[in-house]
Amino acid sequence: MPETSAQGPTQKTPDEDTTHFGYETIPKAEKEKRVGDVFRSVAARYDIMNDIMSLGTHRLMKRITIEYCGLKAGQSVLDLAGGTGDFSLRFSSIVGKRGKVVLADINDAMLAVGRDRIIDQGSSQNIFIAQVNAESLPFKENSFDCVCIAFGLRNVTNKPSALDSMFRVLKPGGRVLILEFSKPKNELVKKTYRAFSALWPLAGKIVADDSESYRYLVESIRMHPDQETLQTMLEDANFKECKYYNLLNGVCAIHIGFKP
Amino acid sequence: MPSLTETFITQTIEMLLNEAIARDERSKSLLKRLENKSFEFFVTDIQKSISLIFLESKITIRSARSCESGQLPDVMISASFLNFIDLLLTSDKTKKIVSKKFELNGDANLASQLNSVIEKIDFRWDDLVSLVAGDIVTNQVVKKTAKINKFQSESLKRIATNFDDFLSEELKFTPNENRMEALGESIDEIRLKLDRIEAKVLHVSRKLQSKNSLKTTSVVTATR
Repeated sequence: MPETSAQGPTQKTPDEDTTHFGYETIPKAEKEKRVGDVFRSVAARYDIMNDIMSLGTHRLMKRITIEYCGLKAGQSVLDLAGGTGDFSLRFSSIVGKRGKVVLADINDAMLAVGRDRIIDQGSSQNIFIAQVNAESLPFKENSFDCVCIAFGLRNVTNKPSALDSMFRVLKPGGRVLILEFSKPKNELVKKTYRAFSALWPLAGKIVADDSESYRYLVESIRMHPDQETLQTMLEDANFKECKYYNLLNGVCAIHIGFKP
Repeated sequence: MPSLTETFITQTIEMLLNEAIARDERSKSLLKRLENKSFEFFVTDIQKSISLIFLESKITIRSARSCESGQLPDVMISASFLNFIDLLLTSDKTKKIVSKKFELNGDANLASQLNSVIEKIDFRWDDLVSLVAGDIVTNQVVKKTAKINKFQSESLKRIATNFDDFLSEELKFTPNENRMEALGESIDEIRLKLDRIEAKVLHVSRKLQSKNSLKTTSVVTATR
């Protein structure tokens, strides 16, 4: 449990060997396992919980992200941290039979849900599944026209490494899209959103019988860098023409960067 | 960047359209002609655009602008909102679209192909309504809609007939072309006569003036 004070949780600034796990500061080596446990626990109810937590708006946000992916028939796309495969299914119809979608996630339980869904929907012809670590992607350089990571970057232990890895596997001219929770700009929206997200662990308890995992989700969202910081991180990873679009006043944001 | 509301609307329309297409084999085969083609309609005065992308006999509707998303369309049609409304209402869309009011970039033949496909598609919308509302409600809706359509077409016919009557009545009191020509000629004749009279008056007044000046000169000489 995080330490809390009247002002909110107290956080230690992580040093080289430690990182955030929600409000906790833990050894870097431990984060991967603990995040894995969280997602293994929520995998079966992940999509329904997303609908509850976002009041269905996550579907619209994903649709907008896809509008900005710039994909055409015959191209290849990496759906990183794609888990339950909803992005991959949408990409699959855009790139068509000549194209290629790689659904990648570090978590086997999430991938299993995604794989079953893809097979059920008969889209397995152009979707390939891979269990990978975003920090060291096991793909050749210049392999993908687009890399997309939706609601996944905040769970990565070493974000700069993950961005470098994404840059490496992108083809020149390719783009990275990051859909992630961010920081609302308006104070009223910020307070409302904070109050609403405080209910997520309760919803997690009722729907998935797991409040701890959803407490981690809330905390990890609050610890995730804001729009400008993430844009700077993209620029530091050598992406060009980096920009972001706020959704719901900044509750979420889509960051876009191009490999020159 | 499209808002969530815009995205929700486009998603709903897209879903309904694709559901209707899936139920109609003729529409599916018609849409195959536009496979892998994309069209963007850019409304200049509100700076919004709608894109239609045809993939695997399905329509994808997008509200992000191509310059933002980086997906260049095969055809881009730009015009003001009113011109797009006018285009929707007009029967000869191909002729209209090549007018100066519309800016067309890309393959013009593709634009006319889209128009012909849209005209040929005949959706059975009642099938879609029955999915949501059930057969009994749909039956009532179809009946009411048929009544409204009948009322609308009868009203339009009645208005057209009344307008015809009004015009034919007015026509009785309106002089015909020959009478108008005769009137014009009479006016010209009067104008010529008037000009002649004016010229005569001017001539007489000049004569009077010269006579008067002669009289004055002779009186002055006599007094000296």
